Amino acid sequence: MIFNSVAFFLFFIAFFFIYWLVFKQSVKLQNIFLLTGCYVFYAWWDWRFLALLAGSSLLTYYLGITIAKTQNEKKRSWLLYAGLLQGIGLLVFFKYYNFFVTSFTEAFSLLNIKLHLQTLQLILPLGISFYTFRSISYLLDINNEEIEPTTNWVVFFSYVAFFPSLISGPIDRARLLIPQLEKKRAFNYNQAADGMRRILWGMFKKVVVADNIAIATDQIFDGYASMPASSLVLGAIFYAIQLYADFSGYSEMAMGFAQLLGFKISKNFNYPFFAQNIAQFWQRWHISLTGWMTEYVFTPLSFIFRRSGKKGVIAAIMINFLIVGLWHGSNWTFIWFGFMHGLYFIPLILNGTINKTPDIATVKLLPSFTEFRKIVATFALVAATIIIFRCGSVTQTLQYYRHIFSASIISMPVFTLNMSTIAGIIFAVVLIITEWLGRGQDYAIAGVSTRFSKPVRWTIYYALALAIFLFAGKEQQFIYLQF
Amino acid sequence: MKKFLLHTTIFSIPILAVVLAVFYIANGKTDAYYLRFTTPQQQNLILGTSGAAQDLQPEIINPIVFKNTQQHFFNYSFSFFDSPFGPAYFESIKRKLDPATKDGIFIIAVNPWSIAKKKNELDNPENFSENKRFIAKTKLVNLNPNIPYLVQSYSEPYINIIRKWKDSSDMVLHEDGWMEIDVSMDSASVLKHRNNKVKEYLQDYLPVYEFSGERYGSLRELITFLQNHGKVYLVRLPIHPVMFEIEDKVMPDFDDKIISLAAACKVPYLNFKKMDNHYQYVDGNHLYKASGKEVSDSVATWIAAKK
Repeated sequence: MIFNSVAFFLFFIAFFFIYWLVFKQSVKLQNIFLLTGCYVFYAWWDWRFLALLAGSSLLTYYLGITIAKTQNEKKRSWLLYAGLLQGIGLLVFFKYYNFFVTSFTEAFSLLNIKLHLQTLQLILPLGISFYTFRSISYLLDINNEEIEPTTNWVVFFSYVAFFPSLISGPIDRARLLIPQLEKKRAFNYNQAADGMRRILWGMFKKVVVADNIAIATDQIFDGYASMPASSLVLGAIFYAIQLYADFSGYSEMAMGFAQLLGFKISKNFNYPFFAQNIAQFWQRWHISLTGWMTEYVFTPLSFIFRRSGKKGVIAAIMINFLIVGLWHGSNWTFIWFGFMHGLYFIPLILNGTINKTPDIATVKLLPSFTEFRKIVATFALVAATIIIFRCGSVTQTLQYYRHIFSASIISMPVFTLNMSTIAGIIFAVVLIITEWLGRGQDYAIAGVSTRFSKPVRWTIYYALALAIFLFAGKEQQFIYLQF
Repeated sequence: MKKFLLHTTIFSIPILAVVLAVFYIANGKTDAYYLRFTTPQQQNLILGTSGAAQDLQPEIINPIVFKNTQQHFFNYSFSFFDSPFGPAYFESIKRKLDPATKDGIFIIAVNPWSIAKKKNELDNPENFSENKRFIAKTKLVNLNPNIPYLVQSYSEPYINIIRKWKDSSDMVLHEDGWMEIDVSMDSASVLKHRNNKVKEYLQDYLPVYEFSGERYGSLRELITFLQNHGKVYLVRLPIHPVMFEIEDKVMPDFDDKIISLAAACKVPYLNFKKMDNHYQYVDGNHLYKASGKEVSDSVATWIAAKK
């Protein structure tokens, strides 16, 4: 049941009406219904992992209360470690077990040592990377006395399984979502209308841009061996746009659905393609993951390495990005991807310019030449590594790069243009222009409600809705569902 | 809340109107299958894969088999991927068949691919690939416009329904289920299409497919079921000799299997492999429409003689 499916559409309409019309008087009943909805939503994918989600939530819930009550520092730490072990252990087991077994076996075979480790037939539980990170941050925040644990299990279980963001984020912190779950929610027209607008924009990004441009991307990445280098460069650019439109589209929809239920969840993207360096890019791309990693990995590591100066910051950044890479999946390509992004930070750290580049003024219609050059350079760095992200293996990535660095780089790109790919490219241009013009707002079309008269506003909404209906590509899963 | 619902409803009405209008104009050019799910239940069916869909023309068969009656055939054949014999196709046929039919006529076109499965897949109906395709997903097969099909199974952007609506397409699915393909028949194009098809079958299908006992059993089950509603005729349609050679490699004893099945079920079997192969093919395994007429005529004459 993905957001752009008929099943979810029907599920959400029924859920919305019961939630607001039947249970609006009691926050307790509303939360019980919300939790039921979250679990139905999850079970729709695979009911077998519901017990894992519930069991993990139960353990974290009790550990949270116990950690807060425990005065003994040592005992407190042990309880925290137990919680972390549970969360990270589940993640390692389901997501990385086979990867580590295979990697160890291959590494030892290079030394002529044969290991007889068995891989397991494991199915990755949906959303495990997201809900585990939520649980871990909850325990760490309690241990750091930044939040009080909730004593309402329905609230906590709903926080972990909150369905708009359960399967692909954003990774909301407890301090943002739990207080909203605990207090009574009232329907707010402006919040709901804004939610609808977000859903419309998110759906446009996903089904019109991402799903259509995916056809060209797949064509190029599947047939890269026989294509000119110029096509492969285009493939990398297309995939960068596809990944952004897909994931940010999902995140906009998640925020929109949450708003319709009276919640505000974390923003996950802030126009990353207009970043002027890689640090700005990561401040704007998958913000909830970057924020999580900064708070729980990079900052503690920087503290540990504080005596080593810039070398310490570089070490912290490298470890941070290796984990970011590994978080995406159990493949050496993701580790490589993380490593490259860590490397990208080194010049900024050495020059001391990591947070020195100001954002482009939102009143400017066009960037200055220097700003434009920096935007293009940052995008080029991102697109170069997106190839690693997209290719299924290190070998394939190397071959893709090898084909790029050939004489055919100076040739016309070749790939089959059809209705979908043309639509994908045209709408990608529309997306980029709209995002540029709307970059000062929460999301690109947020200002439509205040900037334009009603007829113009509705014309824009109708244009988006019709584009979604008429140009929607073949229903495709969200890319980040696999993580 | 009221204001929100009112605005959402007002906004949705024109969108819904456009959606319905686009679905309403969907026709035989929309795709290769849609129209077959929009007609009422039928009494006489042509069943099989894409060969049957393109080769057997009800318009030619009807006057010979049914003479001056109101009876007519409906071509309910799809493709090698969508309608090989198996539970999914069988269930779809049950839905398309008028349950009151007592003296229907059913032409079942058989070929090795229609009773084959991939070698790396278990011979278990639960694993058959068509279970995830429209043939299994489309539960309502007699609905016009068929919104469930268009929503669940139409694989192109809906703008193509408008684009193809009045388009002079080289593919038209007729109301009687016959799929007309109009392609250039100059010898160079024909050779190119055939070479591509042969290459595709040699590389992608021949090494991958093998006989499926389950599909063979399902074909038998289908014959038995249809015999409760009338008479069944088995046909192996003509294909280019090169394609026959590939079929012989994938299933050398195919004809023996069908002959024994026909004998066991007491149904006649017409095998074009044994006959003069002078036909024109658009790509090696689909007849050009003029040859399709000829073959339809032969099949009809054979059925009329056997009736």
